[in-house]
Amino acid sequence: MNPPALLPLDDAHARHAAESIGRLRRVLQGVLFGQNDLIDLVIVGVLARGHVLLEGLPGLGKTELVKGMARALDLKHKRVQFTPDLLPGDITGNPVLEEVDGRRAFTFQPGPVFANILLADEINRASPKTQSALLEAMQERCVTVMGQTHPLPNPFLVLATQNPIELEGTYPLPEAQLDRFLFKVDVPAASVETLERIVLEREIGVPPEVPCVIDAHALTTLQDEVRRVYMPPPVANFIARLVAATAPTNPLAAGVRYGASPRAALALSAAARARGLCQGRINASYEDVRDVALPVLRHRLVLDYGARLEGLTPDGIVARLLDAVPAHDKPLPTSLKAAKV
Amino acid sequence: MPIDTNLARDPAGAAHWERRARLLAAEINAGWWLSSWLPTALVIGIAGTFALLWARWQAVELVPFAWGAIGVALVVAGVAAWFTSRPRFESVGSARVLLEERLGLHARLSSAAAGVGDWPGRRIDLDGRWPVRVRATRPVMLLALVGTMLAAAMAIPVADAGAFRRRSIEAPADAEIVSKWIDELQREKAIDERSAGAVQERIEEILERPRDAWYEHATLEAAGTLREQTAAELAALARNLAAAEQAAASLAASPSSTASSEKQRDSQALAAAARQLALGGMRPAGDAGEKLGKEAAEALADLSPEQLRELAAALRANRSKLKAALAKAANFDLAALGPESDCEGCKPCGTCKECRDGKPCKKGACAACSRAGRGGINRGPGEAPMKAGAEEDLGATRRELVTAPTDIERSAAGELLDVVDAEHAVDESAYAGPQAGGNIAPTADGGGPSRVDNLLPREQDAVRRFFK
Repeated sequence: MNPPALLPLDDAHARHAAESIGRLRRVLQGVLFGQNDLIDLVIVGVLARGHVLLEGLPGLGKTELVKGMARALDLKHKRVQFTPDLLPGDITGNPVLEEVDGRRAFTFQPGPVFANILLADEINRASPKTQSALLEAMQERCVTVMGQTHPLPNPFLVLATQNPIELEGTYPLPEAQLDRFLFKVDVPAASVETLERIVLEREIGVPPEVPCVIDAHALTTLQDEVRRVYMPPPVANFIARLVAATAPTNPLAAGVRYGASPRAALALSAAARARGLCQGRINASYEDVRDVALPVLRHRLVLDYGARLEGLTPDGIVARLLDAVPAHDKPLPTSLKAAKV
Repeated sequence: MPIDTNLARDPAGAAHWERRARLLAAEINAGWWLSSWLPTALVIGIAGTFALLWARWQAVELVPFAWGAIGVALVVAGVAAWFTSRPRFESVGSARVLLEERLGLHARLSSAAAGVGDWPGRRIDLDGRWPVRVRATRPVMLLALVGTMLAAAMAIPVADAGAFRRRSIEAPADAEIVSKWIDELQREKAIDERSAGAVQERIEEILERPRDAWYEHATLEAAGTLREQTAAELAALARNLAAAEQAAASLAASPSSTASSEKQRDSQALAAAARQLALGGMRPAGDAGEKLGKEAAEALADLSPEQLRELAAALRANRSKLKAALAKAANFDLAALGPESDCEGCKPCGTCKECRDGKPCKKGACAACSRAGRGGINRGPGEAPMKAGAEEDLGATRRELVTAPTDIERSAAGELLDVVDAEHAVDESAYAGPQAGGNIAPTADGGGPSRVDNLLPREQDAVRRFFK
């Protein structure tokens, strides 16, 4: 039985949502200087109920961004520094033997995963067992300990980071687990202007003032409104063709060993809707898909050895696919050419 | 989770953008149709060019049909191109995608078409933002090429082979002339059907040859020979008719007192003429033919005077028809038929000295016979071709007249020769001369050339050298 149809979002609601998101964006831009694209993607990830994997050097402001977002959204946030000796219970929580009513019994002590926003720092340093515990929580949005399932708070967002250097003793996330992240975002180094502004406006040990602009309820409402953003069939077709083009059998995806999964298509759809709402629109568009395609797909493509030896990167392949796969999938006759608009 | 799209908004905007989408789809579909039709049109143009050239070469009347066939082929190719290019045709929905993507409408048209949200404003400036640009160079060049080829096919000078086939080649002049002679002679009933049929068969034999060979030397020579032979046979017919007529008239007019030798000679002359008429290539028709055919040549002399007179009249009438027909037909030398013998039947008185001497009675002679110049050695000079005159037809094989020198004493014998390639034109009807006192036999050839020599020019030179 099909679920009941959602009412589409109307323009007024979309505009109101966009204004709220704009306020959040502006606040976060005051927290993290010169990383507007990163902020936008994180906001989109939050609205799309996705998790974001941030990859960048230490000290670029990832933790500040998470803290700032938690304050701006008035959400509970936790930070876990992943190490090789970190155990799953250190994240999910452990049963503790306590005396209750004269009887000794195990009571569940929730771990740091029980927060609205969890910053999993250097996630690739934990053992695969620990990683899988977190990734299960990310996917199921609940934790099961000793047969008891404990739901995670709503909203729940994991912002994990990876350090692209110092790879010795790390456990790179397997592809199946990477697939659970909505985005993988490369955090770029700050520009001179950004650094200058940081120097002028920040001090070590003094966190910036971050006002609360959206509460948890409003955030949940926004997330619901993202679901009501209309996905036109041509845009859905574009997403499908884009994801299908990542298949190794496709000549455009030469060098790809494993392509994107249907989960990638769902992720693209959700991200495109969220981005459409951020723009104040009631529908997703081809432009939204193009904008979120790179962070959605880059960690879902596994390249073969030859491609890696040639220096190909997932980013390059996704960019090639975006150039090659048009929104309008039919060719034009030779007597016509597409106009450059 | 699906979104309820059962919401229709702004029908005016919908009509505006749907019209644009249909227009764009039509433009793209026309492009597909054109790209499918043009190669075929080029092939048809090439084939049509050759068809037009062929039609102009072989049958000009087929040119409109060739144009029609080209037009039909182009139309059929257009229909076929529509069917073959149809799978690639753009739908309105697909055109809408192209339109909204190129115009940066963020899939608003597709959403609105699905009933979600309003249609974009109708005032969006489309100038210079139409999703496709026409590349007309290739289609225009191909169409121009086809048009140029077809126009060239009509403009290039082409020989009309049909006209070449339809050209009229006239039969050789001699054959035409002989045919006219025979036609006129048949119309006047001057010769019998068999004679005419034989000549016509020979004409047909000549004309049965390929037209292109009508003017070859052999054909012309055959036609010329036919003309000469026919003319000779007609002349012989005329002469024999005249001789028979004269003999018959003479026998009919001879009184019983006339010497038997004279009668015998007339009878022989009549019989000889009758035999010649029977054996000749041309035989008389009508009464003359019937009367001559009824009796044996030797028995004609036994006819009664009345029958002889009728025979003479019939022969005379036949000769008159012969002359009249040949005069109408033209191109016939009537002189070759001999002098007119219009003897109306002489009636000897039987009492005069000539009657007693067996000579023609001057008193009883008819008006025609009593005129002077009737030929014979005692009846005037006649027509002697040997005469001094202007040299003509030098080198010809048929007739050559040599100019006589002013001083005839110094001229060589060969210089006075007249060479005629013809048979002797002996006037056998000429007066045989006085009968009494012995006959002069043979009589002179009054009216004919006194000397005829068949010498070739080199033989003439040999004669000249001999006399020098």
